[in-house]
Amino acid sequence: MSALGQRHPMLDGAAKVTGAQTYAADLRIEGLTHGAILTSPHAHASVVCVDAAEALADPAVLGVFWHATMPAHRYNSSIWFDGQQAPEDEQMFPPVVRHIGDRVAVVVATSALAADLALRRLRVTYEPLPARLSPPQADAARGAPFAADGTPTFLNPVAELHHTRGDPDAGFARAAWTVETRVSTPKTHHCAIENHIAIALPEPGGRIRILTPCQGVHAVQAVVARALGCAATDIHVIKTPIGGSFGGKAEAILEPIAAELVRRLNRPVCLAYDRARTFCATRMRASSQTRLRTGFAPDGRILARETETRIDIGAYVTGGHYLPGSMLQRHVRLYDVPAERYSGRALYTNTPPTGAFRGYGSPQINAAGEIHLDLAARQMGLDPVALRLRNAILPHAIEPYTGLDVGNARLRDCLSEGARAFGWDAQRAQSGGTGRIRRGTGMAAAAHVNGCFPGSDEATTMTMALRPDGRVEMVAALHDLGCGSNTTLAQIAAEVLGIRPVDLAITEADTDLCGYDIGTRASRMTYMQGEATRRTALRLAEALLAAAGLIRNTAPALLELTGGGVADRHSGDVLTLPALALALGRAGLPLPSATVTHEATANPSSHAAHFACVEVDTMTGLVRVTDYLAAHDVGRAINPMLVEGQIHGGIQIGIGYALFEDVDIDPSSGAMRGDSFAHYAMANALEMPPIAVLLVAGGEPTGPFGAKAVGEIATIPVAAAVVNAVNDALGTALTDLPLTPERILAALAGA
Amino acid sequence: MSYLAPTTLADLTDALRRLSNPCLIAGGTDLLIGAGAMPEGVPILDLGRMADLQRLELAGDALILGAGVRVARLADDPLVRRHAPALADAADQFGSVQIRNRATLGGNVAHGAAAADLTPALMAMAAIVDFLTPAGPLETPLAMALLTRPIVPPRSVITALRLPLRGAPLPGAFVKLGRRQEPTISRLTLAAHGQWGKMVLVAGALGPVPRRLTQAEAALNADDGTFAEALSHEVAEAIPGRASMAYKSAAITALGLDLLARLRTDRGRA
Repeated sequence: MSALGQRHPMLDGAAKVTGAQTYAADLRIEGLTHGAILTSPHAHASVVCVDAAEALADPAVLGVFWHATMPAHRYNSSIWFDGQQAPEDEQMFPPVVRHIGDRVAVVVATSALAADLALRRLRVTYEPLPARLSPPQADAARGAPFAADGTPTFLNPVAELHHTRGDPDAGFARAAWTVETRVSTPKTHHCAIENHIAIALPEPGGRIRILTPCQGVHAVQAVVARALGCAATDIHVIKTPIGGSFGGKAEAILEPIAAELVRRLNRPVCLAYDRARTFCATRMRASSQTRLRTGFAPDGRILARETETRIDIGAYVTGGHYLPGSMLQRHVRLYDVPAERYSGRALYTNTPPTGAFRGYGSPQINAAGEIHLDLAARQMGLDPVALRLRNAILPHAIEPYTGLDVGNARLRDCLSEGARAFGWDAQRAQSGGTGRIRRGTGMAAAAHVNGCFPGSDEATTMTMALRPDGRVEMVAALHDLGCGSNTTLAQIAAEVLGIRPVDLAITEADTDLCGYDIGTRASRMTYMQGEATRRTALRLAEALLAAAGLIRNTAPALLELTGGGVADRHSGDVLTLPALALALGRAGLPLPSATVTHEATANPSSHAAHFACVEVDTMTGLVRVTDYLAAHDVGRAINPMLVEGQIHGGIQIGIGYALFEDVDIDPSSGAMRGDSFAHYAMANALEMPPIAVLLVAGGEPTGPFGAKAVGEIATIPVAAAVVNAVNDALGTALTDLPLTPERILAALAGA
Repeated sequence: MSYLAPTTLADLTDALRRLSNPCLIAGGTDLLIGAGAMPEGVPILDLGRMADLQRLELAGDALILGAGVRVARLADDPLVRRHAPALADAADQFGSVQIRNRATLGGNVAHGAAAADLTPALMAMAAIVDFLTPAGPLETPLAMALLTRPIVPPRSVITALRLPLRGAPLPGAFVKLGRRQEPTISRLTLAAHGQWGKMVLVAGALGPVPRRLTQAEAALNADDGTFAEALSHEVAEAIPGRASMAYKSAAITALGLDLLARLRTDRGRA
């Protein structure tokens, strides 16, 4: 039976649901010490002095470290290889803290409790400085963000991108309709179940081993080396099973400090954040304020578009310097826009830093673009689906920012088949009403990338080998973030090798064992790692057939891999892989292996069209999403169950983005009000609608067995679909996310 | 760390006398979630094994509810549903399934959170708090007890809440508004209890303690069509200048409608 298209359970699923899975916090390590990090209560302040005398009086306390005693090397936590061009503005313990939650000092003690108690005994002298908390305030602080010697000035904009194509002014001049919309999106947090944690240990020979639930071991290695000012070879990083990430663990945050503490104390150190610090001292999604203006022909065809987006990236740049470009790259993949003017500007503020979060810029620019397009459809009296179909990109369109072919992009199928399956026209006909509860129907489309190509390093190296026990080991820097990517890869390998997915032995990523890889990001697992898996498996298959040919004294062409072994095409006799391994060992022949480096040559688009029904209580402003359909072009679903799981999860994050989620930073103090699950509401089970998933037929020639990504795109169109449904229900033009009850009632009062 | 879990009132009295400033814990749904919410280095006194705190019975002209009664039981118990429908409603909408299964009546009163869901319903029924203090039993009207901080005096525990009953079961209802269905921190609640024409109306989450809305109560009892307007007006008066004022004074009218709908359902049943 083919392994493709099977609803194979996650390989680690049973261990997870039974509690048997061992996460970093569960590791029992001899002599482990615990660090606790003191974070700043000020949005902007000089850390003049940390008086640790009282804390050090406890014999359980092994040390207190702060900026006067820790390395001052500047680094950028978002890099994935050493030498990458990235603005370096972060320090382990900056002399000037830049947000509430910035790192001030670390206490190391023999127990976590002792470290926490000692933390409360630190006496810190701060000199508060004026803080820039809002984007307009920050935008006024203009200047070069870095001095000539590389010192950050934290002036704005930290990044700016302008892009013009065609003649937008001529397009607007010809337009029958010109529509302008302003959309704002909040800062939101990943809310992974596992908080941030890193464990570092001394290794014999002076190296430092880091155990961390991360998205890229080589990225962690590169960041730690920069922060410590040491060679990357001194740092050995191993990924631990991860309790959710969504981008939150893409950057090294605790790892450099843990590693440095090992250098100081020569003992294993565990640094773990609690929930409040995971909220305010790690990363989150950047907020955005976007103005869009689009000129349309009488039939709804887009003639010109102008987009101006301002992104609040918080206290440190992390990946914010390429965020305007990432947003543009996704923005221009959706519709055929003949004339485009785009400007993206990233701003420092004295609020917690932002970084990767499922879609990295896409949810922001998509919410803006798709809410705008819906309001335009209303103004022109056009059906939202028809308007999108009129402008949707076609398969093999050339994406204008990077000049790449979008591949077999089935956006139009997502729109038309999704609308049909959802019963769009009938649902839409039931919109509105005059009672307290109003019903609305909305939709949105999305495009997303498959990997980082043409960015640097979009490649991966994988080794597969037959083990003496007959299992096939698969070694690459794989980082399953909990969504089952390893299971998908195992199915791909199993398909080629004629074995079962459970016959693959997959290692966690380890810098000492695995070839270089940029990690799980940019929806690259299925498309990039999957194709690397397929190619490596093909190479291993050749080697297995050749080896079996030697054992059976047969031409390899007369053999095939099937049923867990090598079968004779004529007789059907199967030599199982354990039997083959045994026979090879007895014959003194090497066990077959294959190593392949797969380099990307394309970056096709994944597409989706999402459809939502909502009910809005016009007296309380509360919204319930009552029905949902997600149509996706994933090329081919290697594991439909995992694809659906990704889509369900993406919708959960997206409904939160539309209706509930906001870390809610106090504009006067910079304090985060939503730093706990009591005050940061997500869409939980009760808020989730019934979801139908429709996978349109397609197939991407450059993807493994035709497969493309689903991880990030699953969340990208959700917020706009829900907001559009609310606007449809109420006749409003709500454009500030999330649609809180207050905003809804205010819009109704003003309507 | 010392930990005691008495099972009898005598043992509890003894423990309260011996321990200085113990941390009392019952369901733990408030104490265990907050960072640093459990004080360090103090003895823990677990009330969860006290059979005496599990009473739920009619005694004379009162409904006695032991402080240790779980919220889920309040929601389902036939006596509570019959004699204290507002409390049963509040219990039914309290926290989430998991929280309702752990949290206790006494804990909700003792912590006195502004957004507590049970206290408005209890206040609407003029509940009396039974404390066990070093000087012996002490009874205090809930409305007064909530104005004292700490609500539970030193070396004391809440043993029960007593709801005075007047003849036949009376209508009552509780409605709430949060940011999502559940669990959610209440942003506004309304509880009503009493004979039609003599209802008591109490709002929660409008200030540190539940607040009796006298004007809206009069409008409700007069049944003259001014209830919604009175609610809106009184909420605006209760939180002048607050950022949430505009929203809450509008949304309270929705809660008013919901409350009336529930009360009418109850009247139909009775």
